[in-house]
Amino acid sequence: MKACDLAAGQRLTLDSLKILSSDIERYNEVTSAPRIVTDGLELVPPTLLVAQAFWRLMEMVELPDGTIHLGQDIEVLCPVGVDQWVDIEAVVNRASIRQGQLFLFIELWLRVQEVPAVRAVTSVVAPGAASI
Amino acid sequence: MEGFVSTFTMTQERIDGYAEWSRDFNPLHVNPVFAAQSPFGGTIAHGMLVLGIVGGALAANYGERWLKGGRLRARFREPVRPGDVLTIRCEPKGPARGAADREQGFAIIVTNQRNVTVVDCQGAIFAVRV
Repeated sequence: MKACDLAAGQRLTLDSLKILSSDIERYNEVTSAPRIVTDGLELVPPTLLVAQAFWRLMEMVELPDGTIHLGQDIEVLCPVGVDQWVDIEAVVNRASIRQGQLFLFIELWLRVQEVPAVRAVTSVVAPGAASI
Repeated sequence: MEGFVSTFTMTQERIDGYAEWSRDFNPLHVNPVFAAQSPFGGTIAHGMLVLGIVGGALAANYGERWLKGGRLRARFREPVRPGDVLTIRCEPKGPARGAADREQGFAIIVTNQRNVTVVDCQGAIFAVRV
């Protein structure tokens, strides 16, 4: 699916993800983040979850080279631990073209066993909207 | 809740490492030839890498209070380039309306070595240890 085909209100069900302890270890290396274990459960950094969810979205929606991330909202509603399956739904909040650029505001809902765990809103601008 | 200040140096090696981890090989981040011809004039860090560093600083300072119930609203103001030395300043703010008992607000400004704001954030963590 091309990015310009997205329309406000559109909902996309993305592939589920499961974060392993090794995924967190590699992520923490590049972000200099500490490992957080509570009550014997290693918690997944919310920024990691959103990054992975965004990657799942990019597997479905083709964004052109040169796409820029403008903003990112993250809200943790329920902690996510390693080895938990996370279901992802994307909702297009806004898709508009200004000065030849495509502006997208996409809400990501991450749920564990149907319980909302993380809500995120990603805003990006993609160049060359006419040719996307 | 106390604020904090952290510093961090961005490197191309770290950008490349994040690209491999995230599988985001946008040439603006990893291809110096492509990026040199872009309006940025060179490679820039992924926004989510910079935000991951901010999240790491929140986790280092507030632990599970961030991972169990944090909120963050980040705006990427300027690109972060290899070699940039970032300073992350977090200051406590009042709680969000209606959430006085549950959360503590904060503001984060990330600046580079030229004191230019590259990211600004508003957010909150649980006010009490959970």
